[in-house]
Amino acid sequence: MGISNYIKLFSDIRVWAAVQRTFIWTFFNVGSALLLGLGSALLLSGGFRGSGFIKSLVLIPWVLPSVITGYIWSLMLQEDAGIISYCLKLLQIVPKDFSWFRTGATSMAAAIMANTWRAFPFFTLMLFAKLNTIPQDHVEAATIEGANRKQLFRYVTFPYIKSTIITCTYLCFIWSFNAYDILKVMTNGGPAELTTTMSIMVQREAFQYYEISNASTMSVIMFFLMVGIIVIVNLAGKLLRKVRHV
Amino acid sequence: MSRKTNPNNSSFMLIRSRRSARQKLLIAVLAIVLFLIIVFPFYWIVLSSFKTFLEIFEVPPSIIPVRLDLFNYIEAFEVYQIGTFILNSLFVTIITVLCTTIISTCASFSVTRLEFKGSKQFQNFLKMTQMFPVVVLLVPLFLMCAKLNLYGTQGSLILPYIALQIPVSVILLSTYFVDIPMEIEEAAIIDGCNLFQTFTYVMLPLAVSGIVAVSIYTFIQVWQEFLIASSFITKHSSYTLTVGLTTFHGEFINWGGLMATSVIIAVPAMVLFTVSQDFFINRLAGGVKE
Repeated sequence: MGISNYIKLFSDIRVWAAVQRTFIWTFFNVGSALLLGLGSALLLSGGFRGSGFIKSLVLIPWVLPSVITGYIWSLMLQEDAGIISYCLKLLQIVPKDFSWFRTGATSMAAAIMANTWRAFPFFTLMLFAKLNTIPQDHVEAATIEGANRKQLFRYVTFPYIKSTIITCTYLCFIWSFNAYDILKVMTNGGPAELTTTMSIMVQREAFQYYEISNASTMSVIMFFLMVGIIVIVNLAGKLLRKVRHV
Repeated sequence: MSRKTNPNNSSFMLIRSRRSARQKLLIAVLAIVLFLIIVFPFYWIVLSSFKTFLEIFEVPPSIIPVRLDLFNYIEAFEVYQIGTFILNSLFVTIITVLCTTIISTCASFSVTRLEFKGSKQFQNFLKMTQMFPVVVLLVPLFLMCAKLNLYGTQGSLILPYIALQIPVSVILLSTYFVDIPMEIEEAAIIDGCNLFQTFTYVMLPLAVSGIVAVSIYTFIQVWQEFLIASSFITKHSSYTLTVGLTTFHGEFINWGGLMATSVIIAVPAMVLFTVSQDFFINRLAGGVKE
């Protein structure tokens, strides 16, 4: 009873491995969604012919159910006939017998690609909306003083959209940390449990092995890990700001 | 106050006139890549839904449709009983949307218009619930459903869905109610409306576009839910559509049928999203940032 559940789980190496995988999964998902989202938002805000059209399409990945996202990416990444694998092999980027779902690292990479595809439109739209409200006089002033594109981004654009980036990153962190559907569909935690994140583990313990107490203990750990990270990042941010002002 | 995006108000507009040919080419290439990244997987779903099993595993894969044959769709309905899953999904989704909309409309009206003790704290609390992961709620929800003898039935989906959707709906709907001028409400009270009449005759008609938009959002969220549905529904005949997708796994995966069903699931969400696109882009952007 009570604390013994936690002791049992903390001494289980599989749990630690799942925690570690959850962090890898979350880190790469948030990172790539942020980069792709920021890039596409900057590109679209440039306002070229057809940018409005692309912007109206950008919600497709987000509206598509994530289970379907998982399935379509696993079809596209199939060993031989998957269109992406086929192209990569044609261009000789990967060896002839390459399969995404044979090793843990490549399975994880495949699922991260799918999840990034689903997550980045959120960044794109939020950042695009913010980019469109940048005060024109700031941009003009910077341009008159001779700022080039890079400096304009560094000193005008970035400080202005920073708060939106932080909010979106928080949300994306929470969503990725808890993500289940895509991993379940694409890898089912495999091969050999190498893509089993905490979400997958909780669901499996509860509804395949019927180890309800294990699952609920793990849920609690998961929740406090997530909240703990958010609190730590928040404190670190505050500390950083203080140090800078001193 | 909806945030209309103005293409002329872009930070990069000034520089636009000075773009060289090389920059234009770079932008064009990047735009095409972005377009392909967004659209191609969806195109591949539709394309694959018209392919036979052998065509899907053809090397090299054909990227243009050979013919538009509906056999995957017919098979999905006749062999895999997608019809039942559609009805199940519709049942669960419609009940959830109705209950969520009614409850959250009343809730957001009272939170924004009636200043009661703790209304601010309540709103903050709602925002905090957004942080709560559904996976973590899985076990407690399961225990509650088991206690209520709901486990395995569609009631075990509807109740959690309503509970999970209400906070989001209240947050989004509150932004609508806040925008309605106080004067209108005061005028109604002076004309002799009581609280209930003010709500039904004055506030509801004014907020109706918001209510519809939030219902659509709820619909899309519930329509595509997988985690709870796949954990709580055990009987084949009670499967919702997303869980129904897993029936295409047998000895091998029937990709054609799977993709056909995916199209059937995706289309309603897409149509609803297109209808309410303005809401998605402007309101959601506003709601999330505040």
